[in-house]
Amino acid sequence: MYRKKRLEKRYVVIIILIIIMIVFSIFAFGIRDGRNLSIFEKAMKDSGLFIEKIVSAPIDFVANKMKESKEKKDIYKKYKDMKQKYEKTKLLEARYKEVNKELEELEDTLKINSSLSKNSYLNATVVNRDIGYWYNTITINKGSKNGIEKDMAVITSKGLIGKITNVSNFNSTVKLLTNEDINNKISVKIEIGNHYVYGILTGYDSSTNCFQIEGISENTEIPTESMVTTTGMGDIFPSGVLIGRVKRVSTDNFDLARTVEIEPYVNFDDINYVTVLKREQS
Amino acid sequence: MSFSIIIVIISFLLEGIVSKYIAMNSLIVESLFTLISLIIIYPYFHNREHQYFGIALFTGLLYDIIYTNTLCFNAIVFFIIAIIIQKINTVISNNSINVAIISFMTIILYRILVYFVLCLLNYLPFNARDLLYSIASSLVLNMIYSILLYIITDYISRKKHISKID
Repeated sequence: MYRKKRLEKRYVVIIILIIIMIVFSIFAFGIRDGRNLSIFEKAMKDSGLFIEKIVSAPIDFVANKMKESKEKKDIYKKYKDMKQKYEKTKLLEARYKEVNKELEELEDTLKINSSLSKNSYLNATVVNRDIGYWYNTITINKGSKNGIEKDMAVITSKGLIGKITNVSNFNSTVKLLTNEDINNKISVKIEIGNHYVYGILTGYDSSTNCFQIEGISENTEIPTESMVTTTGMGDIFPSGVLIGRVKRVSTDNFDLARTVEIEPYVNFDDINYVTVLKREQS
Repeated sequence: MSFSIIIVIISFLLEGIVSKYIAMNSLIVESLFTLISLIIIYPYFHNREHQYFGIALFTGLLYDIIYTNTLCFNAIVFFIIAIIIQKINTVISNNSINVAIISFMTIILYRILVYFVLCLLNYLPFNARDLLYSIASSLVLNMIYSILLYIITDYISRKKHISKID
């Protein structure tokens, strides 16, 4: 009798362990990043977000009107600033054309195909922001029907914010650089005068609001406020996309490895409009 | 049952809309309205727990697909939370203060459960401070929402004579 009970108990423990293993396998499969969405998932996601868009339309309308009236207060000052900037634009435009031409010639010579000029831009609006807290993602209102593909870089007017991880027909998910995913590594370069120091952006520290760069290529002095951009290595992020500026340089306890802290230009807490860098078909 | 489904749908949509207007990684306002709606609707499923668990599972699945781009993750978590809500409700009576207490416990449990699973699966590096922040940032808004939702649904259920466990 006692032996039978012990055996039954053992079976229960084995069954519980098997259930836990199955649940964890489902979890591991379910949270994978690069997962392609099935047709069912795409349809559900698009229809769910469409309903949300309809429901939120009146709220968006009121919020936009309030924002408009707030902005109207200092419209004259803004107009003067814009006029000044516009006058400079023509000069910059001519210079841009010339530089772009030179760049194209150089790229042809060196056979490089990863600079910003090889991308076309697609503007999108943010529909959802970081629901679920840990995923650090945003959902935008453009999808595969607009030509968006997985792993395209996403920027704002102030710099790089992340990459596309999931695409449905009319919406896409952007994984932000602030995601503490341990596999998130980006090759970057720090501009020091006329030359660059290379490194790898390894992570984000939410307490300091800074990115960390490790694996610095040279032992040169890195001044604070130096600009950090992408290198274009790795085929996801094109070269020359702005990330932030150097805030602090620290060394480890043995004075061997250096870590550079980067303050991003983008305010990741408040992203409303983004631009997707579409890869040009060659 | 339709009354409960409406509550869940409204909370679900509201969670998506609110996310656009609050700062990401906010220290005081992180919405978990869908989870709160599961606490509020439980008393309307007297002797029909299987339907309640079904709704929790389906809501979790929708949450996965529409909001978090995961698959079956929140569905299972919501199902586990629904079982816990049922167990708590067997020992606690249904009133606004108790709803706030259940919400408090559920939010903490949900955050801990999700965080530990994500850490175990190597999706996040473990950091106790982040976990505490996530709990602290979720409590205020969601407990207010739970009390408000309880008062509104209680008023409607009395007016429309919808039966529930008290």
